[in-house]
Amino acid sequence: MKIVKEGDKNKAVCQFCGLQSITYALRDVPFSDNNGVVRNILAGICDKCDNVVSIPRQSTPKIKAAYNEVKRSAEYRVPAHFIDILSLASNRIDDEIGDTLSKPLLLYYLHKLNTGVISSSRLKELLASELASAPSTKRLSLKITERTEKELSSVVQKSGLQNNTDVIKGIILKIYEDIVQPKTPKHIKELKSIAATFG
Amino acid sequence: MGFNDTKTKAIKCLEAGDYDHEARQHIDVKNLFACGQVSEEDVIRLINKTKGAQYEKSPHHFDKSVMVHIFKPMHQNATWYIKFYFIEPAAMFISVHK
Repeated sequence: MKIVKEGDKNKAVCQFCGLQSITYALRDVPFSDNNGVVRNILAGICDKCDNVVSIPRQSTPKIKAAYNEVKRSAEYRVPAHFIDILSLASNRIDDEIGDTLSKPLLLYYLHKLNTGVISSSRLKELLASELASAPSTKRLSLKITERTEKELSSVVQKSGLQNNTDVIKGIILKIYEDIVQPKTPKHIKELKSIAATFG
Repeated sequence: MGFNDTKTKAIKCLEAGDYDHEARQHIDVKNLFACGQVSEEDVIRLINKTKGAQYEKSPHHFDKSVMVHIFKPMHQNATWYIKFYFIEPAAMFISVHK
């Protein structure tokens, strides 16, 4: 693999100056969606206008790490009572930290579905139930990582559902079935241990 | 340079690690290659899949003396876009996305 050093020269097309000579130097380079910056990586800098024009191959691992760490906002439209279900379930697990558990609970179920511990076919059945039939008037906002996005896509495929929103809605209904509805919530030991990590 | 030569040369650059990612003041999150979400092996596989009818070239928007090559292979029911140019002897990948 070719390795470049600070001060090495190359050529590249700069968006302001056209084909130019560039010099590799250390820079902080932001992502295009303003959601994070990759700090202190070698970048090809236009010798004319001093803008970042290229990134050498060797900087990719640092970019990948920063990209995977960045959380992106995702919004899902759900019926109002779905937010209540999450709140009730969280409080059943630990009434001291309550709603703080809503997102971890969703991710817990998402992971169990993705790894096949919980069957994803149940989600479709739950979405056809009476409890699911209400207009989606509320917005559930989550900051999620690329890894979570991939798990969502995987569960969409495995479950035969249409999109991420349906998966989230299905999970909330499954949470109702497992945690809110029964006398003794399912997975309670494991979930209480997770709650304990919130200090 | 014809389609087959362009394919061969692009693959050689990837195998040798002899390339940069274009970055217009920032790292484009849609560029899955620059963000490390697809590997060199993935891109080589996509390039190998590309047929002649899925190749086009056109002058770079910011410098017409530079020819940009675009491969558009189909993979798993999606059309992928691999855009790059050569800065001898290396390649500059503008984007790899679907």
